[in-house]
Amino acid sequence: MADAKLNMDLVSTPRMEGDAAIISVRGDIDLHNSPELRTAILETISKKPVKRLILNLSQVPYMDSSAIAVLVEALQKLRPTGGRVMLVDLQPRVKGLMEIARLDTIFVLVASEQQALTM
Amino acid sequence: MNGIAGRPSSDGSSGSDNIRRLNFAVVMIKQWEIQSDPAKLREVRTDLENFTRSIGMKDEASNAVGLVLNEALANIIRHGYDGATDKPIRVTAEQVEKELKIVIRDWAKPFDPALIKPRYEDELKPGGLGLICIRKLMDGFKYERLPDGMLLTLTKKLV
Repeated sequence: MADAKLNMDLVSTPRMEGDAAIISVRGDIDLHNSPELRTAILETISKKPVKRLILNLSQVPYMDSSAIAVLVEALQKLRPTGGRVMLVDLQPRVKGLMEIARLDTIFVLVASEQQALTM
Repeated sequence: MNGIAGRPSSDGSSGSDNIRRLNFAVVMIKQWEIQSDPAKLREVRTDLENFTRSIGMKDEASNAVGLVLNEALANIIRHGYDGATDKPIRVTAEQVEKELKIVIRDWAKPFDPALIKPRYEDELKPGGLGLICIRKLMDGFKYERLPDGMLLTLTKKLV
């Protein structure tokens, strides 16, 4: 497998707002680049206490099970301290996969970053 | 590539497609020979989705087929080839009348899919989602253990 290197085209620089970390993701995510997403998320939540990890997925038309595994891992790390993973503006294919995986009720699905910040 | 009437395919070439007549059934075939490199997933997935649309499959079904192929290939790469990126995988997609058939051949270590526990047993334990996709999104699937690898056959009605 390729080394996981942070690709700014895939993942934005994380933005902190209070106890929330906001990351925007762009493009298809599959086994090829999901390690980059994993690196970005784990680095973010390890640097500061994060109660809400807000992932803007409005520009992610496709993801596979390796991307889902990254999201689940993030949730596993945040849950013990009461943290949540909030997914913003899921595109139809991504939402469909979430439903197949029965994870649409495990994550907090929201329409906008603003909505996530008010929850 | 252009279709060639009356000439069977399966010549092993990469990305080939043919048209042939078998007992009045028009058959479209496309084949990919790839290496077990995750960087290839998107290209093959997109190519297959385009192929399924070209034979009349609707967008939702084409997307489902693309996802299933992606998951099947990812399973081979991760579990069969232990992440090696230079091992062979052959994918053949064909239309037989009103059905799409996809055959995925690898030369990886064999496995028994029955031994993989459904992920639903623990909602936060990743893994097994690929098989869930195959079961839920395809009309039929069959794993066959070969002396030197595995053969996965997937079928879906054209709707």
